Amino acid sequence: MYLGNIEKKTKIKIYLVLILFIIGFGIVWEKIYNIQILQHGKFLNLSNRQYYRTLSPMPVRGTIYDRAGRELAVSVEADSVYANPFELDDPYKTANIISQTLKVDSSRLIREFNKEKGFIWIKRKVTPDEAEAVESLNIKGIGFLKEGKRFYPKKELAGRMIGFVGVDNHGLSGVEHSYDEQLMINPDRMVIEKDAFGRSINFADDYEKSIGKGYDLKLTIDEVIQYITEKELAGQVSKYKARGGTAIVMDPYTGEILAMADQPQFNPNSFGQYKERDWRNRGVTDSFEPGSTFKMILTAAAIEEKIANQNDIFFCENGEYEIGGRVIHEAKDHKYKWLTLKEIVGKSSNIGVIKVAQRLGAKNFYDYILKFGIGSKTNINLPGESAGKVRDIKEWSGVSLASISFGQEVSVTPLQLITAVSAIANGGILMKPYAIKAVEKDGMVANEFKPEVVRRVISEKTSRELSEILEYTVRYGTGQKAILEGYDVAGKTGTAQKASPDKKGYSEDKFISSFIGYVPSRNPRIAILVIIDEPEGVAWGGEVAAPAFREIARQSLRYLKVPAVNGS
Amino acid sequence: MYTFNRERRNINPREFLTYSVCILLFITGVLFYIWPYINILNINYDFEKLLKERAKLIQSNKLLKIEMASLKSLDRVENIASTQLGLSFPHEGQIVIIKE
Repeated sequence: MYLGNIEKKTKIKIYLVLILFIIGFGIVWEKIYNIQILQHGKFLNLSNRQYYRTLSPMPVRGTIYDRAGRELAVSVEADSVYANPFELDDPYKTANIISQTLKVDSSRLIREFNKEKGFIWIKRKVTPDEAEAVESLNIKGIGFLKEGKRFYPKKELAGRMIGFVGVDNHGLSGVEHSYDEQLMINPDRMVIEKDAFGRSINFADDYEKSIGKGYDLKLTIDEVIQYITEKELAGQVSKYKARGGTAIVMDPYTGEILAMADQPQFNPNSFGQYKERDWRNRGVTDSFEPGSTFKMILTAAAIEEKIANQNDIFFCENGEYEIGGRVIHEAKDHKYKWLTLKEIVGKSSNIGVIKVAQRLGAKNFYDYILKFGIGSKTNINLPGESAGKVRDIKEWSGVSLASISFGQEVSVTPLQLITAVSAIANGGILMKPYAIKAVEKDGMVANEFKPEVVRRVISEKTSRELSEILEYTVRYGTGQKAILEGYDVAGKTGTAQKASPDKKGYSEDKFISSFIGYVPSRNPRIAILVIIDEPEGVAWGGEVAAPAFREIARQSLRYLKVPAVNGS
Repeated sequence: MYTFNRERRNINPREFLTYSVCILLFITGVLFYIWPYINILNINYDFEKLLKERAKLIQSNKLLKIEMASLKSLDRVENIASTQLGLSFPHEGQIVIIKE
């Protein structure tokens, strides 16, 4: 710098200013160096936190539909109310106001507010009205978070099969549990830009994609048939003051479950009000001794093995037959002499089926029991399936063959029984039962379940002959209360004594009454099983369960528009 | 002590006009450059508001759907049909299903 003509004093001043500038700039440059280079990462993070916000979109649970696309389980967003006690001006006053508005315990709130916590839930998944009421209070320190809430608009309908979700929105029972991973998909986090006021700008273009909507499920059940089944089952359970009941309707050609009902009913909207045992889908999870309905399996095996045909006669010992030290009687103390196989099944003769079983042999019978899928899981896509119980043939006692021939010493699930009978109905093919028709995403099928053949169990000829026997059972035998005007019904009654509470023998007054069959008997559209647990007064399956079968069949066939076949 | 010789400078009006036009053009250019960004920002604010509104509408739509599904419950429909409308199920023979 040339300062030749300027006075010395002025020069000093200029130099001082220059030095000051240099020092000033030095400080600025040092700060810039510190911010931009030395602490670059830290300040970049701070800046990003100021200008970007990470959102965790709430996962939206997929919808569950019936086979016709009617909603059975739907998710909506609901507000959950929380408090930051540190921000509350007057915790006591707030607790009182909030407790009145949301109907929660004020003493709990006061206790929670006094804890050294920055976040507490006040009430989760409140109704829109409750949320609006709290919002209008405009209390500092009270906020909302969005959470998914599950609604079951049809209430009890198929409640046990559908199941329910917990507070964390994950399935705890039913298909909600078994298909939890598909129904609930956690979405990726998304980063959005915000301005100085915290408002979002440049909202992500793929916002729609970022919302985590799970897959939808389409069940095989039909709302109308399910309703008919539940209504008729409830009516019969109530009429006989029974402990409970189960009914299943199946398409015998595909294995699709059209209805699966349980009594008492269960409303998944308020699952907390029920005992845990009422959450079970008993058609799948519980097994029982089938009683006389099991005679169908024996008869099928006998005909298939050409041991007997429907007109072969057997001596029924005048109603009393001793075997392995145990005296077997007929139901209602009937005393039959000679009966054809058709009559044995039609009249449900215990001694008659023992004679058939003896002719068939234990090994053959055991093999057919297993072939019909008894004793092994069907692997239906529902949770908690039981395999029932068939003891290994090596463990059979001297009376086991006799007992099993009329459905004792063996336990089956209702699902196994209806699947086995469907095999008789459809010409001899055991189908794998299924309750989920498809997994869908935005209306497009992602995974479709199709009918699956397990194995052929009996020939078509055997199936036809057995159907004739079962038609006879309904027309002239124990199943007359299942007669349906206009249709030929094939079916079998069952009345099984329940095991006594001390596990020694059978109860004298506790029964399981059942009826299983299919209709129309030639080219059947539906197979139906009705089980009534511990009816009071009358216990016979033909009296208690058969009328429910008839009503379910009558209304379902009308709904399915199945024309009458016998013209009566 | 020193003094500066200030010389009054006469600005040519033509020159002034040229400078003014240049400045104006520059400002206009800057505005044109900035304007779409401001516009995008405003559109984004509107978009976000609309998204929130849309989310609310979807929510109320869902609630209405749930209400509709609930109102269409078959037990409710049957109850209204039989108690309020006096309807009853057709008897056997009143319905003939024709084979397709």
